[in-house]
Amino acid sequence: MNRNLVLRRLCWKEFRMLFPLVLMLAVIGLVFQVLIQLANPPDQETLFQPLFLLGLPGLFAAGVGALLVGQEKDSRTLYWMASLPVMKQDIIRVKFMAGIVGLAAVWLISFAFLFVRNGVSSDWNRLVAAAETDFAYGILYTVFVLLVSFATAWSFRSTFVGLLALVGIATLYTLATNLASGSKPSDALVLLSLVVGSGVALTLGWYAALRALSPAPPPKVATVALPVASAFDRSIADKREIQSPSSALIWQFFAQNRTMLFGLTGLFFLSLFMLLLGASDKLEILTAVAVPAAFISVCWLGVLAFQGDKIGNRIRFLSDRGISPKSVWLTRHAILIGMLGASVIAVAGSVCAAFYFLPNNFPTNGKWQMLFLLCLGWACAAWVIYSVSQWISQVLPSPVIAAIIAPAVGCLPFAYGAFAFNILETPLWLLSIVTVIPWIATFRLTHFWMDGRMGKRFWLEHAGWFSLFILLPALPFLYVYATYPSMPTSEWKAFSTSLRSVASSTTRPNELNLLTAKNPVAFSEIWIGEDLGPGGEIGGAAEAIGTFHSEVEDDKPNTLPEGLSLAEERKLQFQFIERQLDARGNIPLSPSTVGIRLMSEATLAKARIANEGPDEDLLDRYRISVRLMTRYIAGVRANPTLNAQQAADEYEAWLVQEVQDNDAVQVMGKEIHTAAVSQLANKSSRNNARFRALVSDWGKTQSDISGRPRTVSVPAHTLGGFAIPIDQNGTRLIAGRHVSTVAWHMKQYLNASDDQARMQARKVLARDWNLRETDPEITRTPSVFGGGRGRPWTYWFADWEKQADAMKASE
Amino acid sequence: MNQSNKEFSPVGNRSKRVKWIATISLIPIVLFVLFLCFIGYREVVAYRELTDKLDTMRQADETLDDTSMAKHFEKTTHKEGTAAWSEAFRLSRSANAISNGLPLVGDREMPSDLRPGAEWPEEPRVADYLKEIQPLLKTIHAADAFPKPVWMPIEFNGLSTTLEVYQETRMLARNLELDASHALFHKNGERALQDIRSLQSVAKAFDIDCCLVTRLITIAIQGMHKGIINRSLAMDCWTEDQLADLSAQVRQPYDVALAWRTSMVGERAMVFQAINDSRGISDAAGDNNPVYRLPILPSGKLSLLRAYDAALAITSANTNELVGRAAVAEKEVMGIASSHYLVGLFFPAISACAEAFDRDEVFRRLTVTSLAVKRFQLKNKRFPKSLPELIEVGLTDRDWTTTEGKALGYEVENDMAYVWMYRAGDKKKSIPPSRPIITPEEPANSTWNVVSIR
Repeated sequence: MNRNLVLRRLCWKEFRMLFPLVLMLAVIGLVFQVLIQLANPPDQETLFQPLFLLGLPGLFAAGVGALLVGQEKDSRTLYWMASLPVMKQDIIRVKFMAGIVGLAAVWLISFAFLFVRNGVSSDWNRLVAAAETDFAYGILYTVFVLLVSFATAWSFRSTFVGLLALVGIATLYTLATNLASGSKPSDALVLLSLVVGSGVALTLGWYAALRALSPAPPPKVATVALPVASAFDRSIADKREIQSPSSALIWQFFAQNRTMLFGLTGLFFLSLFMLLLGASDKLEILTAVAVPAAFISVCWLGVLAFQGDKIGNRIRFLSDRGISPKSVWLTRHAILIGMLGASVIAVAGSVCAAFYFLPNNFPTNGKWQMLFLLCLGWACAAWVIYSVSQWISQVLPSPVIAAIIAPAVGCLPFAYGAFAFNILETPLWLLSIVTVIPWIATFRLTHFWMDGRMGKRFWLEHAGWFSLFILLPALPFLYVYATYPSMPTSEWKAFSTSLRSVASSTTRPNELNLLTAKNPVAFSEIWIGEDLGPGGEIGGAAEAIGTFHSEVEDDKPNTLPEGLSLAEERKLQFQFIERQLDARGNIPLSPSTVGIRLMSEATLAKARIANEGPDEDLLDRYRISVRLMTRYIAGVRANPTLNAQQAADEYEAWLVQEVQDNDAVQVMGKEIHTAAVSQLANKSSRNNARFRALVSDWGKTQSDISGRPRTVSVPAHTLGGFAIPIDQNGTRLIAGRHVSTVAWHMKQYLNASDDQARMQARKVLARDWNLRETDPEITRTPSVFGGGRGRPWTYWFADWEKQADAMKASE
Repeated sequence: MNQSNKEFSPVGNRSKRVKWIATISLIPIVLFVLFLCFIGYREVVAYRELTDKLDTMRQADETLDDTSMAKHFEKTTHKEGTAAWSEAFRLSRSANAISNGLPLVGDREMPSDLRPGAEWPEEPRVADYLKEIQPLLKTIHAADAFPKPVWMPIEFNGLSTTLEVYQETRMLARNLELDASHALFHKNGERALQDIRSLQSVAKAFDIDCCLVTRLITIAIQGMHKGIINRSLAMDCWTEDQLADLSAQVRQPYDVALAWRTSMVGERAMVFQAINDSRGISDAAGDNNPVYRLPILPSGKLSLLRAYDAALAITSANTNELVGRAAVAEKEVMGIASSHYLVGLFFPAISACAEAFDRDEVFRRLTVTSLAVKRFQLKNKRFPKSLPELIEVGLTDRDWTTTEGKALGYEVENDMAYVWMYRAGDKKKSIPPSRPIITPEEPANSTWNVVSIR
């Protein structure tokens, strides 16, 4: 026979066998990628993601032996192949090379996922730095696992037992390495142990493969003993009674899977033992091995539920005899669920043992709560893992692929659950209900599975249940998404147009400072902002766009000398504020301590005038404060941010009180009083400034006006730094719409034509901010200080504005 | 025929089936179902008990939510002084803007020795400042005439209730303390006495039955009140009448039992408002914290209610007993098996609160004793040789002992008398037999309370 042709055909066959596994792992990786991408913003890194992506090659390495060798043993094609005129060494080499090539392909897929993820991330460098050590170790470890996988697959007659042996060997290998070298094994030791281990696995696997492909020696009839029935079997048989179908089915399930059941029980107890060891301070790393081992043991229990009957097509025996699918379904799960229940009891026992043997590692109080929470947590986790694994077990035709895929798929419900709980904000009770869907699916389709009728209906119905599994947690969010109010398109266009206009006509705001004794004020730093373009940062931004102009430099002092009296300091502060105001002209100002200082100076001066009578110094001080304050308010009002507008509202409310006093004209002086009243009465200018601020802050929350992403520094559900409460689940993903709706409500309030419409709009805003119906914000006429600095509209159209309007009218 | 059919039945005689495998398999399932039933039953029982308890409390007109809190607050406070105190706060905020470079109200330290004639570099600036805030001080003195406690606008909102006004009372008190210190520095006893009176007035005006925070603010202001009295005794500036006035101010102990009860009731109302209304526990960022999306079951609410019952039950007029009982109750509440995560999240640190009450009471006794020593000296022209001699000026042995029954430290040296209590933060509350020496390096939170009397 042409050897080249043989080799080509063998390669073709092996890759055909590998393709479904590689494809499924790629799909699982993709699903994870999408979930993680949705759950975390691009600038956040997650530990879980690279760990899982590194886990894909691990799963492949663990399963490839079972797939290429075990599956052929089960279907007996291996022995047929051995009978052909093909060198058995060629068969072994091709299988091994196919495994290595497949592993490389899965590694490339994993790297591709990492690259796609971190291509949009800012922290790619850190991952690469981590990769230099972890990825190299990971690659070596997966090669070791692959060789052990081949060795066990060639050595054991049953595929499942081979897989179980592989998990046991990998776990014991890690345990031995750590016990031999302490909690932190050196890199050299790990490398050496992996190389030695790989060599041993390769050698043993090679001889086991040669043995497996060699003709079996003829049985020596005289020495062959009849199989002896076990005590368990005898206990049934000795009754000499006809059994009920259910009991017989349970017995049959146990008998045919007993090796795996005992093996998985052993693996579970081994993981519990390692957890106990890990609870001591020195062997913490064992916890990292024990948890996956316990996880895999439950996954494979689920796989056994249906795949135990697929080996050798045993299920046809039951199907052909008309056994009820309901009985089969119940009896497949009975023992396994019982084992899960027993595992919870075992966990409780282990925790109690840990409390007893390691009393210093646990707090005195709260042990019972910890015990309860651990048991409950394990029960819930085991329930979810088993539910999904048994579903996989029925859906996938190959027991080997089911066993390999199950651990990866078993992670998905947790990822999806976390995504649903955190992002879609699905309630816990609904998530609990969803875990029952896999049970309903397998129950309904057991008769199709028994008959081997895996046709269109089988797949469609499973797909339907799967869709329900995915959609049900999303229903509350979808309902919110469909019904949540949004800003009308026409309004959105109007906001966008206004935003462009605001952005093109605004310079970046400056901040005024007070003189301090310690830090010299950088007086020269006066920002002359550039046009930042639509949707850009306007004020208070961290990004530096524009230039500093230094031509306003002067040689006057910019620190406060020590030992001044209050009066001397006040004089210097007033001069400094005035110099800054003069230098900045019409540039918008950010609210700062300057406003508070000026208001305080005026308030104290006026209180003293009321107490001590008019004094020239006090009058002068009061007038300077009010005059500077009036100029300062105009600057802050020009600042297109809601925060500045609220500050300007507070300042103006104060100024209204000052100009309204009976002796205001005398104390303030006619000129200052007139200027203040005139400024306060400019209603249209004030509302225009508020609208500009609203539009500007709204622009920072939107992603698609200028094509730039939403500014990362602007948190969701905030408008201009004001938090907008959310008490409806599922609004996290539609933060932009939520904020837009609130912005639209604010615009309606701003543009309301009369008091009645205004009050109505205010009630809507109060509801947006979650105020109760009895809250003064809704029920009372807004006053000067209506409470709640956390709401940007609190001072809008409040009493002080009405008083300002009235002053204008009276003048 | 029928008999024969029965013998050959493929399923056999039902009574003779082997069921043990199924039985063994089902044991954990049955146990799990029983566990679920137990949990459900426990919740039903808890719901009934909780409903009964809440109904009883509502019938007894106890505060349980924002509405009842607002009603109770309105009922137990007076509105006559609201305008005057609001004006005081307005002026205080303005004064705060010019307080830079000053002790107590600004960023400078108060000199340790403020005797008349001692060095005080900031004194001219302090004098300037005090001249500026005369309207504020006058407003506070005048507000003393109104009934207390005073009503202020509070928007009750569960645990998110903001108590800005009550936080600002400290600034009022600091301004008064600065003025009193300045008056003592200039030996102006009358002005200092008026400030000290007003300091007590501030404490009483805002001593409301709201929650532990307001109570602790009151204790802090009372501490400032007693602290300035203690410091004043080193300056030898009081007449006998003035000393009698000061003694009268601190003679009556705080009604700890009542304060404890009303604080706990207020705390309970805030917490129950929060867990019954998601708006009360959504955090300030406007985002829903996943912790608060865990189920709030009746058993959790009942555990919390029982924890508050335990806290209410430990009340005692003796603050030392209160500390011991609070520690025991806290341990029990946090450690019992049925304790719920809600208790861990919302139950306050009651033993720390009880400690604050106890420290305040011992500090009061220290002040009473120190004033009595000074009065004894004025009366007899000498300091008492030991504290029991203070019986002569009307004290009892209870006044010069701590709540644990240990006598306060006392010593006379070089025409000065010293009275001291245990060091702040000392859990053993041991009082040294000889006067502790205070060094400037000692951290502020563990300093000795030593009163020097000239």
